[in-house]
Amino acid sequence: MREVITRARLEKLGDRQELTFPEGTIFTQAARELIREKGIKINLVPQKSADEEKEPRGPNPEEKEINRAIVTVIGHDKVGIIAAVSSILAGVNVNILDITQTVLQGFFAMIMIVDLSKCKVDFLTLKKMLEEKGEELELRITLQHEDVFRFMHRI
Amino acid sequence: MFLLPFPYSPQEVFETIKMVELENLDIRTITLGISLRDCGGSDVKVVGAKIFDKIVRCAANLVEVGEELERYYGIPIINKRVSVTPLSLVAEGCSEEEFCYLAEVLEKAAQEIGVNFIGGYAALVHKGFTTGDLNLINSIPQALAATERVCAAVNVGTTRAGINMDAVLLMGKIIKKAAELSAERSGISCAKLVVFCNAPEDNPFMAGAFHGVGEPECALNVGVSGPGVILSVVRNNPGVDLGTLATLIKQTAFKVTRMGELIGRAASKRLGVPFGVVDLSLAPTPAVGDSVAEILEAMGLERCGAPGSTAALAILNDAVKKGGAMASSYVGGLSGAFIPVSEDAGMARAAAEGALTIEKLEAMTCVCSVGLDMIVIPGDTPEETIAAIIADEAAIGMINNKTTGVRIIPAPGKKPGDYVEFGGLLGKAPVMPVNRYSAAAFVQRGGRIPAPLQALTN
Repeated sequence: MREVITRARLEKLGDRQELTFPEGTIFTQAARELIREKGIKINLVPQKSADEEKEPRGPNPEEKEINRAIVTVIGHDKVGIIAAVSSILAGVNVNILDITQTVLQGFFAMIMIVDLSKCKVDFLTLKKMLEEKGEELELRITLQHEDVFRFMHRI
Repeated sequence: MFLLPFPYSPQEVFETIKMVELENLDIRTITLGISLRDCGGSDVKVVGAKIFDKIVRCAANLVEVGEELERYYGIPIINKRVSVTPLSLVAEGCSEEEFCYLAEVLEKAAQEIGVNFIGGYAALVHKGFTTGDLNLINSIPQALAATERVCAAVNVGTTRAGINMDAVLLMGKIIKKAAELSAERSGISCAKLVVFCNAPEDNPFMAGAFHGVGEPECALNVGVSGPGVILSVVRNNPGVDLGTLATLIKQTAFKVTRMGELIGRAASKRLGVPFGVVDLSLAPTPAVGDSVAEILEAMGLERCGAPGSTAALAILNDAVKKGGAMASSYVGGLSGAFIPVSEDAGMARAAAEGALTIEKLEAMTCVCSVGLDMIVIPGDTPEETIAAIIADEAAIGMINNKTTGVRIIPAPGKKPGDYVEFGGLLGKAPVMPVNRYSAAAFVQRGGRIPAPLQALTN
């Protein structure tokens, strides 16, 4: 069972302290607020337990199972859309498995299926990178896990 | 890895994107049910400490996990909440003041873990009261006035036991008192108090959520939403016949519910607790386009509440269930369309224009999931009249073998036509007129309405 740190446990501490907890410690929402208010610094150290849990070390065990995602791009067609998206993907070692494009109600629409299993950044970072690129190019770029589509459209 | 042919059509992909980005597809709530049955004891301070510890230990990262999943799947999860064992069962021996103390403990625990509502300040009295039940019920007005996040529920009837009319009359009193104690905020305490018949044990929706006695140590229940998505389907198919429309709603409900299933499974895995149920409810919010009333209007009614409203709601409710039941492995909770007035902008408008009355709402509750929900009535409505409204609604639930509830707010000092604003997801609503003829002599008879023939199924 992972340790839970509550606000009460941190309340007695002074400002700007530095504390060390084992990795995986859970902080309640109230404790997090207090950490921000008091400017407490938290160090999380990896824990070596005797019977090393089956959880593999890594960003998130979940990421291992779901490794495919769908990138969509909607907007006005212009030069370099695919290049822009694929260079971001290549930069973080994401493989494009399939790509299709079509025109939907007058808009350019592109769909890519990508393999994230060797991705160098986590899912949320990649999502943000793509969304920012989209804003720059005045396009709507989304990244969604394949699960969302699989659950919704396949039984 | 081979992928032949392309596994999703562009229409499918963009349908999903559109649902999330334009039609308010969201998960209404993930609610962690926590059993407090191991928190009993004779000293209320000790009981309180045990309750606080258990809730915080089990739900410490509920909000964090919820937010993580929102970003991960790109689907908003509006509420993260906690429901607990009905407190009357946990702290049977407590006095009224001690129950109020425990309500504050629940409030503190909710604050600590960052959830906006915690349900389970509840008593099950469908056949009669224990001393603890009575103390808890009598403490409700005080407890709700002293807290922000605690939600109370009282079950006054079941199909198998009949209706406890003493409890019904008492709840009329309690609702009035709760409104008076929160008079400066238009009786907002009553928005956190539901009187049930046939209360479900695994309902994830507030204010009526509690963790029933047959439930495991912890369970994660999911409430899906999606009136916006259904509304868009109905609007885009103006000319189709009702059978076809029902099929379209069914297909859409399936897709919406699948998202609930996906998020529920992911959340239960990350939290390390068993997955309970998906509640297939169409839960509106005050946001424009997220309204059940607007769906009924898109089906062809000039205003919700017009003749035909009950039939339209019946089609909608049934289609949502049929689609949803196929989409999830475990379905439970309330499962049906909600028709709250203040929480649904379309309902509030229909009520303000006089299209929708309490009597019509009562008829509509015969075919949908919950009951008279978030209805504001004049502050001078007698407690016997409120009790009689509860009795009517409980009778519908008892005879039809379904859950019904009453969440009614006698707003102090308000008259029909006034507007009351609760803020946030509770929304705002006009004060609706109540039939002025009295049922006092009827409800004061007390006793127990015998269980109907429907109970004799063995």
